[in-house]
Amino acid sequence: MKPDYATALETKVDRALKQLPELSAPRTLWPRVQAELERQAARPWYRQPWATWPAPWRVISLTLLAALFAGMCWAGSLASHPSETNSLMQALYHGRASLGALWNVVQVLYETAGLLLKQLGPWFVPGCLLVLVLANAVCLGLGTLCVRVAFARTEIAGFERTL
Amino acid sequence: MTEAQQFETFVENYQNMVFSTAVRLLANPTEAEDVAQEVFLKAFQRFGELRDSPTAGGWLKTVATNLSLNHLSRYRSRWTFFSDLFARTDDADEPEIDFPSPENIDEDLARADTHMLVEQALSQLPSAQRVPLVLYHLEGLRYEEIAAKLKVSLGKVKTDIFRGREALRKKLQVKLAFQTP
Repeated sequence: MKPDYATALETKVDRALKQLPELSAPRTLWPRVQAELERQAARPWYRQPWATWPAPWRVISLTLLAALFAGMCWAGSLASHPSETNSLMQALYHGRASLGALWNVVQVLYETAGLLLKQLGPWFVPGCLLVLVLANAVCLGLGTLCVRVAFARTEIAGFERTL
Repeated sequence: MTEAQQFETFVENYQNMVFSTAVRLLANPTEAEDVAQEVFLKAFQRFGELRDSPTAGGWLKTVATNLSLNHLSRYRSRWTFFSDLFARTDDADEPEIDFPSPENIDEDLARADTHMLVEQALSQLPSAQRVPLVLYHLEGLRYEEIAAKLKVSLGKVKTDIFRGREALRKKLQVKLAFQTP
């Protein structure tokens, strides 16, 4: 490629593109914006952006979220130390029978899952994951094909209408 | 004049610019209208600052560009992932534009036709060439800025822009005095 050619091409394309006038926006644009603004204004405060909530609600929600986060951190740390979890669950079991029953159910489910995996072999879970990935890929591929076929026509037709 | 009326005037003043920016990047008027709507909804949230700001136009253009690029990466990339495998590498089999004969029409009409043909040719370029070309020539971004915005290498941006110019020239060369420079 000659440098002169590239420069001349750049100049010509630049001139051609910069001479383009602005395209007219569709007449439906402002009514759409207006309708959306009205719809947003009609929403109750709790469905509006968090920054626009009344100050007390912002404080309360922030506090609740912080407490939830702290709770999750605490639960995570307990889960990483099974002995502590066990002792805690046992303590709860003595204190509250319903939680003890729940713990029993969890234990039975856990043991059943372990036995099932042992029977099905070590390749069962990776195999399932592989099938899931392949199924997703096939869906994506077919979807892409359909959309490309549909868009190939509507894009050109739509652009010609704008011009 | 109420705030709503002021905002309506504001939208009327800038809607063509915002829509043009979006449609040239997206090559799809319906998606461009969606983006333009989103731009003005964002503008409404900051209307207090933008109302009398001399940089309102620049702000709107930047937001329109960014939202269009987000739209392209968010909604298009998932569909083009597979279909790019079958993408044409040359445009030999693409239909040439049917150019009107300029001898029989007056100068204004010819100019309007030229603009229409350039717009049409631009919209037919693949996104990989059209987007950096528009960002460089129409939005005035530098190669480095385009590479950062599109998260691609500087070399790829330069190659895509050159290929885009070439493709545009090929599409227009028949009647627009756009012969090989």
